[in-house]
Amino acid sequence: MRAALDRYVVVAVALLILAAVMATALGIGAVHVPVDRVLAVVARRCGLGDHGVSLLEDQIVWQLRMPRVLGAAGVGAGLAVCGAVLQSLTRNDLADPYLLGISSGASVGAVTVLVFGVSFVGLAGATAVAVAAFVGALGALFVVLVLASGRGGTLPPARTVLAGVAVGQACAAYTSFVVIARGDQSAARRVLDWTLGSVAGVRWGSSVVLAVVALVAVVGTTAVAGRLDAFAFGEDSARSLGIDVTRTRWMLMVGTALVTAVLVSYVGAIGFVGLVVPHMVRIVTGPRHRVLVPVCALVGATFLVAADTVARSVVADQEIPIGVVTGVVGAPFFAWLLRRGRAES
Amino acid sequence: MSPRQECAGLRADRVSWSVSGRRILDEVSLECGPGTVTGVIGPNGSGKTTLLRVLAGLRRPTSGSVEIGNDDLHRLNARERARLVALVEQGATTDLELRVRDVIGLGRTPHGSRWRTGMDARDEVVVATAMDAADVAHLADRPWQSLSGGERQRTHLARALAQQPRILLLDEPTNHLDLQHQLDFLGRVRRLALTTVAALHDLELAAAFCDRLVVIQDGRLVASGPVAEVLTTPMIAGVYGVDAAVGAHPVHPRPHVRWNGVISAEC
Amino acid sequence: MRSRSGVLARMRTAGAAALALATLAGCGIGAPRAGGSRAAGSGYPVTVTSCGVSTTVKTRPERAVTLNQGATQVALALGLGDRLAGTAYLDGPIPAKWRTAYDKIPVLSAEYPSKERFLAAQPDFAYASYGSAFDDTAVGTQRELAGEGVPSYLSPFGCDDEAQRPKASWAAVWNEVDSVAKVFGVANRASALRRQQQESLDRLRATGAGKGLRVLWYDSGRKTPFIGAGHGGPQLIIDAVGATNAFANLPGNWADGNWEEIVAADPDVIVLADASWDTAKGKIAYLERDPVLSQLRAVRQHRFVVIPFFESTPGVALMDGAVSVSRQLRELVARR
Repeated sequence: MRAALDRYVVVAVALLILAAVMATALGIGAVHVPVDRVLAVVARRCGLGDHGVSLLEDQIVWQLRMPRVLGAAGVGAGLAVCGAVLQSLTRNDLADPYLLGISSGASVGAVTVLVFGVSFVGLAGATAVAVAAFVGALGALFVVLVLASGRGGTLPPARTVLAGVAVGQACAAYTSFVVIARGDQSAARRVLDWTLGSVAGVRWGSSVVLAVVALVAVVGTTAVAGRLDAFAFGEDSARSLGIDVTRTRWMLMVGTALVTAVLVSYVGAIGFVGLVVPHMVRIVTGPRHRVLVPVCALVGATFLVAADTVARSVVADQEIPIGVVTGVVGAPFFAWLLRRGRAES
Repeated sequence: MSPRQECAGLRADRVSWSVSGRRILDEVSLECGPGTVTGVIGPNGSGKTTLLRVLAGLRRPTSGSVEIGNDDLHRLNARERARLVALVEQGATTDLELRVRDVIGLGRTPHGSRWRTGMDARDEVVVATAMDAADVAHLADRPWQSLSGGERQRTHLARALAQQPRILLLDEPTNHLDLQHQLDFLGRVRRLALTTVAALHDLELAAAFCDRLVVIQDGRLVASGPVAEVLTTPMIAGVYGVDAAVGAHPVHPRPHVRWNGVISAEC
Repeated sequence: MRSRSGVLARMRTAGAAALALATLAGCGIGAPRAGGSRAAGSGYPVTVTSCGVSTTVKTRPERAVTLNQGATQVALALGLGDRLAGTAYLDGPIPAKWRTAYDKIPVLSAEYPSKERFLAAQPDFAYASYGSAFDDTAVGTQRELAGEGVPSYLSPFGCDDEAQRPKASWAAVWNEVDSVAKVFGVANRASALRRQQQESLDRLRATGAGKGLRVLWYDSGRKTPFIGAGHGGPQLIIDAVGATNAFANLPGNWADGNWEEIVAADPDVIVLADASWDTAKGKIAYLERDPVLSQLRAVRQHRFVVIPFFESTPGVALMDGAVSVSRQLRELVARR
């Protein structure tokens, strides 16, 4: 009974914090829009009167900031959940959503379009980059899964991690080579920007996709929370508890890879969220997935919305890449985690 | 124990298991009656752990079959198997910060709906009963990481009992435990009156707590039968290379082993 | 704590969330009307095409925003300073002749402005030199801008698709100026600029300050020098002054050179591009300190020509670069 109440309390608190952070983010930006005007824009769009909202105010608050904040929330939630799943599946604290070569593969696709300036299957510009990134991510996933499948098609965690590292290195080599050999300064800068990730380009269409993908990831993962819990003592222990380990691994790894691939192809490879948020959340909720997963989603969303808000407001006239903000927060947190672990053992 | 299905008998029929061309188990057959405690003994590397894993359904035998009651174990799916057989592994550990209650709750995984994520009232009752049987109820909210070796083993036992199995398998459950905890643990297991197969290191413990013994050497079954019949000087000499005298225990009605020394001439 | 109802509860929550999202996204209420439209004016609407994108400008732009320095300089060269609402991404000094006009225009940002900042300037036209300006992480794609009532133009030299970029030539530079002038209704100024630069070019060719000289165009880099190749701004200048590019055989505008080949070629003169990220002084110091490179004839005799980087890329300032190179070569030759 107490456990249930705690669970609902934690989720409710996390939800409230997320809502507050998102609302704050709507009011912050390069152009100063007073709080009452922000509310006026939102009210108007929800059919509650006109309030004399100007086109510029609507463009800024509703067409730019709202989808951006929603998109950031979706990406943060999705990455955090995928990170939590992979950490449990591989029993590796350093696992993150890019374990299976997703971000490296996506880079290969994106960089190829950015440097060679191709129009790809009739698409051009940002759409071409996104599609190429997705295709690249799937390609890398395929290679990693082929390399990692052990005897009988199992995916032993150690082998999977190594396969991911190998493919990641190969992709990184290709990316560097292409940029140096063929890229001019403009292309090199765009590759760097893409690699560090950004939610600045998210408009309504993209944000809905991102939010839906994140929702699917959260709901789907919570549904298999029991199975993930069973991995606590290793794969044989999970098997003896009735889990089809191989099938569960394939399903979850491919599932998280697909979710991550979609997220990365829209916003680039934003780091640290999938790695750090599960650890943060586990401290509060414990490792049981039924609570861990939804709270990871909420905290991941909050984290990324906050990071994006900082990224676009801390330096006047310029947006810091969001990957830098998540890194600046994530790295010290990780150091603290290590110290805490050392003190306790 | 609360009412549950009748415990079943276990039958392994000429089970073999190979990996990379090496035969780890070679046509091992054994039969355990319902409610009996069978000890599996043999030197290190003889294949005891592998045998238990095959009996648990974690490894598919390359030939032979395992039956529990009337069911062929490897024809069932993983969940059905997990409701029949529970395995307590050697020293299974985790880095996660789970409470004892959570660890035992894992035993309910094969029960209920596949998509369930929480425990219902029935699960709570089973877990509570399992905790009592293993005497870990007072540790329920303690973190796993803070437990001693003995407490951890009892928690694993409770988790296995929470699976409500008909067969209980124990892989060297008393390694790394103090003598007192060893005796306590095995006594507890015996009192469960659940069909049990336990791989054991210590011949005295095997003699004290098992009804039947099965001896494995180099993957092959060397002897099987009631304890008194199996635990003999020639067997110990042949399998362990140790000269021992087996006699009646001064207090309890079971055999008692006294070491005389290593047989140096034997290879 | 019922597990069976847990599944239903989760599905209900998911459903509610999805519904809320759909409502939010599809509220069905459109953007507010833009402020009143202006009269079209004669000569409008005007359509220009670049990089496969056709843009129609309905009225004369009064609040244009230039998103790169090249674009800014074209606008200033056409005397459009009073029709610019903002500039961005300056990466070198503005030539003195345009400095006063430039300082009067608001600077939106050091690099690309965020879309918010861009929209706040209430632009009615956007002009950029590089495709990256129209990324959705910068001010948005040209299509998106068109939907928001802001026509835009991308320099043909900056097309994302390399196949659509023109080969570097004086004519290509002047064509871009013509297109931009057409948008702003100042075609006569573009013609004047073209005439002016053509006259300069003719004079330079007649003077032939670089005749008989083999030139290395050293742009940047140390371990691997980035040098002027056979088809870019550097080559145009070298041709204009009548010199020979020692590495005209290399493809592209600039290319990675090789010190061994440079030593073998032993050029008469080294032209150095001066940029904030790689100064001419720095390059000269490197050459003079290196045991092998300091033995090059041009280094020993200090036969260096220095021009700002921005006068070496195809754009309105390229002619200034050519003039400067010609002058410096004459001085070098006179010194000899």
